[in-house]
Amino acid sequence: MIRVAIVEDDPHMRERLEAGIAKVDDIMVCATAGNFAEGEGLIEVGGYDVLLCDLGLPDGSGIDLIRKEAAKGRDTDILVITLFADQSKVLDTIRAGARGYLLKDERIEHCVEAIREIRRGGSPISPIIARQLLAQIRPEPPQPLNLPVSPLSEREFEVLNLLSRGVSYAECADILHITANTIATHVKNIYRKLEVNSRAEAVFEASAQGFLDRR
Amino acid sequence: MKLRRRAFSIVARLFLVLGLWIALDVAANAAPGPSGLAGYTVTHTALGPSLHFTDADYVLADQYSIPAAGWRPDRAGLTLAYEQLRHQGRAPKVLWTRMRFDRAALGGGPLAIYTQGNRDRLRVFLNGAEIYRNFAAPADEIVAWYEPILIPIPQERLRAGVNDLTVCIVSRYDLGAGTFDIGPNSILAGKFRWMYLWRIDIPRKVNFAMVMLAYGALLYWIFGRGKFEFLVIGASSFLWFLSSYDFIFSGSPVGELTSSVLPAYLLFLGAGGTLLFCSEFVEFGHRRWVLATIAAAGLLLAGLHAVTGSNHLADGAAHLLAMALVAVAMALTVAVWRRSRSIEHLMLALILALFIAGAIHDFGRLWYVHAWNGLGFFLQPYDGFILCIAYLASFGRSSAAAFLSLRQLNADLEGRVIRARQELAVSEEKRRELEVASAIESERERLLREIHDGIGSNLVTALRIAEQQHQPTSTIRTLRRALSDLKITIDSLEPVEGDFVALLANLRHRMEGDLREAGLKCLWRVADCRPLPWLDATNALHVLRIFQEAVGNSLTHAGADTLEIGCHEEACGGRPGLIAYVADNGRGFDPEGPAAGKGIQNMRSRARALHGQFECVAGAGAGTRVSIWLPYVRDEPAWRPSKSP
Repeated sequence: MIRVAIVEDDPHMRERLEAGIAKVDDIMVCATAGNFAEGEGLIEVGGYDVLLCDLGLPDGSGIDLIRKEAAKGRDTDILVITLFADQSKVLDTIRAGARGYLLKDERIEHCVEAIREIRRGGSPISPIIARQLLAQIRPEPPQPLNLPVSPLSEREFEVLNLLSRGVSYAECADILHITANTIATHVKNIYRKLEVNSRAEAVFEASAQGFLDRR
Repeated sequence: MKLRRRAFSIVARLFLVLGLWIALDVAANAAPGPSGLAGYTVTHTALGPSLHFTDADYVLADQYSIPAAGWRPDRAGLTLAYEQLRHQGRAPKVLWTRMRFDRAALGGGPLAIYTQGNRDRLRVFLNGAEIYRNFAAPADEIVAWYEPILIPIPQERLRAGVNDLTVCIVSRYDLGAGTFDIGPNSILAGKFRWMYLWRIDIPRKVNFAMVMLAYGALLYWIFGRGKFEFLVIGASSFLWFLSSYDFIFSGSPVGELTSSVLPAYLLFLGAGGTLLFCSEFVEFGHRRWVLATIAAAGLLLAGLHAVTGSNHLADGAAHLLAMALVAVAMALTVAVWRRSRSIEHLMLALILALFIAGAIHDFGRLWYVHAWNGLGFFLQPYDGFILCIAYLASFGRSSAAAFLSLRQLNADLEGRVIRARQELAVSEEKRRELEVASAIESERERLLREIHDGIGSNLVTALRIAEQQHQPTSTIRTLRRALSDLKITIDSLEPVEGDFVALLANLRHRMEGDLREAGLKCLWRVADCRPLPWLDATNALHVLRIFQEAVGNSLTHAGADTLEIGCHEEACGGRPGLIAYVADNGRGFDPEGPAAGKGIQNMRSRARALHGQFECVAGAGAGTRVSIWLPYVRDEPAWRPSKSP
C-alpha cells in the first residue's frame, strides 16, 4: 500500500486526486493540507510514502515545504503538482528535493501511474529539462568545489543525452539494451545528484559569503 | 691572426697599386718640355705657345721695392717653411722671385699669366710695373695660397726681346712662390676656370653640405638620444671642415698665422675622429685595442714633431702614419665585411680606400715632397664629401632600423587596437544579448505567472468542472486544446539556445499522451543538428505551431496508425540548413483542394516567416507528409515560393 499526502490549495484539484486515488487498491490518501501552515504540520507528523505538493500556496511557497520534507531524510518521494512543468520551476523543485511532477490537466489514471512509478524508483523528465541538466551537471573539471556526488556517470550521461533528443523511455531502453524501468531509475538518480550538488553549492555559496564557519 | 694577415695583404696590395701610379706620374713630370729651353717649358697650343716656368731667381729680402741685386736661381715654386724662417721674428716675410722670357717665344694674340700656390699675398710686376695684387692694403692678412689666379697682360707693358716677370710674395707663415704660366689668354683662362671649379667651387659646396649634416648629426645625438657614433661623425666633420678652411676661403677671421697653422693640426684630429667613427660603425672586435693604437700613434706623432720641429720630416711622417692607420681600419673593415657581407661595411671599406688614395695623392703634391703634380689640385677638401657619404650610410642604417621597428611597433599597436575593438564588440554584443536575455527572462516570468495564476488555473478548473458535469466531449476537447496551446506557448519561451531538436523533442513529449490515447505508433527519426542561431521565442513558437498543427491533423483526420517525426541536416540550393518533417500513413488528402483548409495556409505562412520552405505532400491513400526546410543563416529576405500556390 502506498500512502499519499496531498498539499494543494485548489479544492477541486484536491478532490479530483483523492477521488482518483480512492478508486485504486494499492494507493491511499492518508493526509491532506490546503495551505502552507497545514502543510508544515503534515510534514512534522509524517507517515506517508509520497508527498504531492502544489507550489503556489496562498501563505507560502511549496518549494519551502519540499525542502522541509527533504531535510527530514525520510524515504519519501515528492511529486510537484504543476500546471505546465516549465523547466525553471521543475529544476528549482528538483534542487529542493522533488523527484517528479504531475500536470494539473493530466488524466487521473496517468497521475495514479506516476505515483506508482515514482515508488518503483523512476522519474519523468522532459527533453528540455534533460538538456538543461546536461548543461548544468555535465561540466566536470571547472567545478570550483568538491561536490559530494560525482557529476554524472557515463551511462547517466548517455541516458540524459538520448532523452534530451526526444527519445522516449522505451526507445531509450531499446537503444541501450536495458529496461525502461532502469531508464526511469537513472533519471531519478540524476535528480538526486542535482539536489545533493545544489545543496553543496548553497553551502559553498554561504560559506564564501561568510554566513557559515564564523568562529 | 688570420684576420691580421689578411688585412696586411690587402694593405700591401693597395700600396703596390698606388706606388705604380706614383712612379708613372713622376716619370711623366720628369720629361723635358718640347722646346728644350732652360728656365721654362713650352707647350704649343692652337692659339700659340704657352710657357711654364721651371726655374726662377729669388731674393729673400724685407723690402717692398724690386731688389736690384742678390738674385739667386732655384727651381720654380720654391717654398720656405715657417719653421726655417722663425729666427726672423714675428714680422711678415717677403720673398721676391723673377722669371725672364723672350717676347719672341710667345704668340701675337692677347696674353695672360696664370699662377697658383703663392703663399699668401702677391704682387706681380711686368718689366718693373705692377700689373696685379691679390690684397687691397699691406695690412690685409689673407690666406689665399690655394686660389688660382689669372692675370691678363696689358700688351703695352710687353717689350721686344727679354721681359722680366717679377713677383713679390709676403707671408707670416710658410713663404712660398707659386708656379707661373704665361701664354694665350683663352688657353690660360680655360685652365683657370677648370682649376677654380675643382679647387674652390666644388670643395666649398661639399664642405658646406658636410657642416649642415654634421650639425644634424649633433642635434640627433643630443635630442634624439642617437648612438655615440653620431657624436663622433658630427664632431669629426666639423674638424674636417676647419682643416679644409685654408683651401677654400681666402679671408681670415682669426689672423693669417692661426688660420694657416690650425688647419694643419686639426686635420689629424679629424682623421682620428674618422677612425673612431669606423670603430663605432663597424664594431670591430678588440675595439679598445684599435682606439688605444690610434691614441698611441697620436702621441708618437706629437713626440716626433717636438724632436724634429725645424723641418718637415715630422709633418710628412704624421701624414704617412695617419694614412697607415686608416689603411689598417680599412683592412679590418674589409675583414668584417667578408664575414658579414653587409653592404654598409663594403661601402665603408670603399670610402676608406678612397680616403687613402686621396691622401697619397695629396702627399705627393706637398711642396716639401714635390713628387708629382697629380690632378693639379688637392683632394683633401673632398674628404668632407666622403665623410658625408659615410654619415648618410650610418644615418640611413639607424633610421632604417628605427623605421622598421617603428613600423613593427605600429603594426603591433594596430593589431592590439583591432583586437581590443573586436573584444569590445564581442563583449558589447554579449552584454546586449545578456540584456535582451534578462529582459526576455523577466518578461517570460511575468507571462508565466500571469498564465499560471490566471488563464491556466481557470482553464484547468473549467476542464475539471466540465468533466465532473459530463459536459459534451467537444467542450472538453476544446478546453484541452486550449490548455495544450498554452503549454506550447510556454515551451516556446524556454531557452533552448537554438536547439531545434530539443524544441521538437519537447513537442513530442507534450503530445505523447494524445498520441498514446489515439493508439498511434510514433517513429522518432531525429538526427543531431547544429543549433539555429536565429531561433528565438517568436520563431520557436512558429516551429512548434507548425508541428502541432501537422501532428494534430494526423491525429484527428488521417486515420493513420503510424506517425513518423524526424529531422536532419540538408542543404537546399547550396545553402546549409535542416529539414524536419511529420509523416503519417493515413488516408491523405488533396493539399490543393478545399480539404486543405486554413491549417495548411497557416503552416505555409509561418514557414515563410521563418525564411523556410514548406512542403505538404499528400495523396489519396498514400499518407501525408509535411516538411519544412530551415536555413542556418538567414541573411536574405524571407523566402518566397517561385510558384504561387
